[in-house]
Amino acid sequence: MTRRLEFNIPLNRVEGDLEIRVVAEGGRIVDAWSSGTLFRGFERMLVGRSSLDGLVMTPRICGICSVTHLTAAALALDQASGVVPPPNAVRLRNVALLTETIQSDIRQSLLMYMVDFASAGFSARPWYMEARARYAPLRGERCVAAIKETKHLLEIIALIGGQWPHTSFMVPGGVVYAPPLSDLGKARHVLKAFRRWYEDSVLGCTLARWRGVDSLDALETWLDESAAHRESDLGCLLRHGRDVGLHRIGVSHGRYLSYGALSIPEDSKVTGPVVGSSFIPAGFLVDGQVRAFDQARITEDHSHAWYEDSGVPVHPMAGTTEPVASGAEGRRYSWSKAPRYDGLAAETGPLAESLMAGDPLFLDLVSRDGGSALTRQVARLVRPARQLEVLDDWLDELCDRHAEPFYRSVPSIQEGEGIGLTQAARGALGHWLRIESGRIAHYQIITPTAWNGSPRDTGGVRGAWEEALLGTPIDDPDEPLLAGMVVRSFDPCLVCTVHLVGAGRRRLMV
Amino acid sequence: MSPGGLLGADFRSGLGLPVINLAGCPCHPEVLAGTLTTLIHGHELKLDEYQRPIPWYGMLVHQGCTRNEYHEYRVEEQDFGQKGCLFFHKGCHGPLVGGPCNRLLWNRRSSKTRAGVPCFGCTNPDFPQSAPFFETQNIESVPLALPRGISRAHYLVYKTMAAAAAPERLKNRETEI
Repeated sequence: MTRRLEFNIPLNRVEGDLEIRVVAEGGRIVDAWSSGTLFRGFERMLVGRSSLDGLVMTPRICGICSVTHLTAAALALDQASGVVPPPNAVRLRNVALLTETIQSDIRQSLLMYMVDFASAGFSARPWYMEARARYAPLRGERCVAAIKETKHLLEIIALIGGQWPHTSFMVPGGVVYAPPLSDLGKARHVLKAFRRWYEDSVLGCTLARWRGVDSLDALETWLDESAAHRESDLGCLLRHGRDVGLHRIGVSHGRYLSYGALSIPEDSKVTGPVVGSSFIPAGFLVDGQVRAFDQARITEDHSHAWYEDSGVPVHPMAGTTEPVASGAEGRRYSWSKAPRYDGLAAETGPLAESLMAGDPLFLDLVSRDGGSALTRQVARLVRPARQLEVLDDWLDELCDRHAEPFYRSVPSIQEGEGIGLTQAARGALGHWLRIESGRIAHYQIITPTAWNGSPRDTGGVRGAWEEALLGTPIDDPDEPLLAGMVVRSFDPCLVCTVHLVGAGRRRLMV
Repeated sequence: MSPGGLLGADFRSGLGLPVINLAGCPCHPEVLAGTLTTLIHGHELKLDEYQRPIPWYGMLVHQGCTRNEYHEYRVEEQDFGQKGCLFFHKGCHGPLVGGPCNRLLWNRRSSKTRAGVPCFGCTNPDFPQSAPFFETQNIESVPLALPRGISRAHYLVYKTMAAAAAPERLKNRETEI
């Protein structure tokens, strides 16, 4: 008889806590449920408030990606007002969003992902002592460096928006302030120092050298080329990740979603990867084909979540957030709703962005491993390589065009609808807003973690990381390291979706 | 409001400490570190009426704002991006609430009010207020809530005279900040 185990995986080191219940048979996971256990209700707090108040309230949803929520809130209000922000405002918003995304990618990778390689469960591996020296919590040399360097990087957001986190410097029509040239110059110095650190020790090579890595073969050549490459964080992720088999697990539905982000302002030297697109293109990738993205195809399914359910999945402009906490029917198991695109579950994040941009390295990797945990995590660690140069380009343009406007006046918004779509560090983020008589009449938010950590839908289809867990080996139910690394490859941010209580480890049945 | 909040006014921790509130959304990291350091070293930590440590909450957010000269002469920001004081129209709580934002600065560089974002009063017990964030509640164009400790009559006279005395260079925003 096959041994059947049913247990909860305790996940700390996510932005919040997350509890996942799995069933394992024959040493592998055969089913999984991702559960959120506390209701937050930010959307309900916003209804009835003044039209601009989302700019102050929604950044406070999340302390690690508050600028992204601010961006989505401002974009929704731009649309509701009908005013197009001037190019300098677009540049400044983009600079802040990129800075926040880069700090998040580095902190997630070095402080929350690589740290698993320093776990006792891997103590028999030949690289264990190296991993401990580098990534042991709060003591590892790379952890300390990541904390210091990302802290400096965030000074850029303070220089243009006053503080990080929780500034509200974006408003409908642009930004509230034209930072003085002296501060833009300081921001460029901060960026230059960070870029040097990223090249020297995260990648182990220049951004230009990394751009030449356009296939799995080129990646192998790169890895063999020098000790600097092998001993960088990227080199360690590849070497240790393959050794523990991360390239063979964590494959989800193979459907990827990006809302697109970072509009390219007029007269910019920056170009997008696809003609006419934003710097991060929007799209829905299914069956190997990128389909044009249309937000009207998004719905939320409440069938397995603790919310009132009309029985039919609805578009977020019509959606509600009415908690139903009975749980008595036994089917509902999460405070996260199940968002779907064209009725389909999908994953979102840096890997989805790379595929939408037609990045040849990630197209090749996904064609070979189906989108493994390792490929997903590599996409995150190398995303700054695409972004650091455009960040400096936009700062440079802001200095050149400093005399041009940063704001176009917006009269008070009495009536209107707006949709703010952007890409957070963790993927697609959307705010859907309706204003009536100068007050917020409707606000719905779908976070990236709602996509990635979604529960089942009416058809019983699992959410992205529930699906990705299937087949993951469970060597030790008391220390399910690989299952944790599969979920963490999505960079879970449960604070955004719901706030989970860590229930600890409970063996239910052996 | 009871000084100990949910735990009650008489609450004392194992070390004999009352509830200490590190207010702010978020609390400034130096306040957190400074409070812990003070307690670890066994130094006395004086608390204000809301049980907040006085070394960081015994000052106004307004103090240290680089827009103080605009406030002084009542050169106001009526719409975003104009460079002016945000207190009179844009809902800034800087002169009303205690907090170290413009003394410590955020991320060692700046503060919201320095960058033209109003202070939303996040160290106040009533944060988030129910009134709109980006508007000052006014009577006859004078804010309903006045800077801490000032009489309405004095403030009216002072601000009328100050506005009349405002230098042209400031009214014309001939300044970098």
